[in-house]
Amino acid sequence: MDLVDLVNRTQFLGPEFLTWLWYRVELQQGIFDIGGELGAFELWFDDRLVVGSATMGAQENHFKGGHPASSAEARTALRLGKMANQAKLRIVRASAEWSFVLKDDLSVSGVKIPAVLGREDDEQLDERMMLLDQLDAMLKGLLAQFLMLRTAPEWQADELPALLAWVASEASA
Amino acid sequence: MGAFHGSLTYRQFFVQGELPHDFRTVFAAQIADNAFKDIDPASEEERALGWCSPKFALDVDLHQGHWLYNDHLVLGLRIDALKVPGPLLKLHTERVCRETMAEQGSDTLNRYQKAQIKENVKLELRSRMLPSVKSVDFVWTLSTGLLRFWSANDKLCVEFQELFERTFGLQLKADTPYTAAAFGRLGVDESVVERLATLEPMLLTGEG
Repeated sequence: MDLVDLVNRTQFLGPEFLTWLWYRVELQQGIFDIGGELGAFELWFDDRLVVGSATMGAQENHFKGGHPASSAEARTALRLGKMANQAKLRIVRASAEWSFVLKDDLSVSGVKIPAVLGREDDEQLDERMMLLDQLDAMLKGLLAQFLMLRTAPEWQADELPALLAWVASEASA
Repeated sequence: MGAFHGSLTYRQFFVQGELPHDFRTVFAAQIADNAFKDIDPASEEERALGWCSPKFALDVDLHQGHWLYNDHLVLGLRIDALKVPGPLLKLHTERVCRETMAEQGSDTLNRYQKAQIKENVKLELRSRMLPSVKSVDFVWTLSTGLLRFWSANDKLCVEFQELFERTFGLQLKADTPYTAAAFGRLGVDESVVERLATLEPMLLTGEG
């Protein structure tokens, strides 16, 4: 299989990652630790969430306002077999905060980064890229955790049953 | 827009391949070769793409100070479009057809004459129009090979990818869960990458 085929074949990992993240946010109260230089941070689902399924006639549910990730409507959509396609997320690490919409193709939009202090163009560029690199490193750290779990025997034995139980349970709000 | 100021909406790519040893010189020539060139109104061309300064889209004189910022190679992808709106073309074609019939004292024109008039009107209108200009930045961090392109539009991403690869002779691979793992961006073992290729989608309905 060539790379294009492999990328297409594994496209489902994008929605699965976002959905797993949703479950883990609720399980861990938003606290994640990816080790290394960046260590621990908080991640929250914010006020926008899209759930859908490529195998269900591409019908999507768009939730906006309030806290859709903990709504009964969004949980019901999961029970119908849909998964998160995009979500507005918020990450807080030390005193820095990032807000952004993450899509299941890993593209990000509307990113708000911590304040940039540099005045010159070069300094601003360096700072903006450094802050986006930090965001990327945190997301990649989470993606690595997901993929290692997803490919391990623990996925079928523990993680998936727990995730399915969460999907079947009532939402907290 | 994007690299220095403005909204942060982007798609990430991994640059595959080695930087040439004398990349400053090599890239300078390659960037100049693929810098944006204006659309010729006398041609049929309706859309053109090429590199421009990330700070001023109309500046296409791209010397090194315009694209190398410390560890970042930054350029704008300029996209011009010069297209006569259909209703406007129809209206002016009708005007010229009426004038021609009046000059000839006839009530009708044949198909060939109408087509010729339409073509002439199109060229005339194109010569009087200014193209729409849009530019989208990319930032390539040379030390890591991570590239951000300030658009998530699928068609534009493909066009950008083609121009980038033609310009720099290096391949761009979109950042996806699989490529991130396969290209060592996640620090996961090769065995994880191998198993990814055999995974089946999970079903939340618990049917499989």
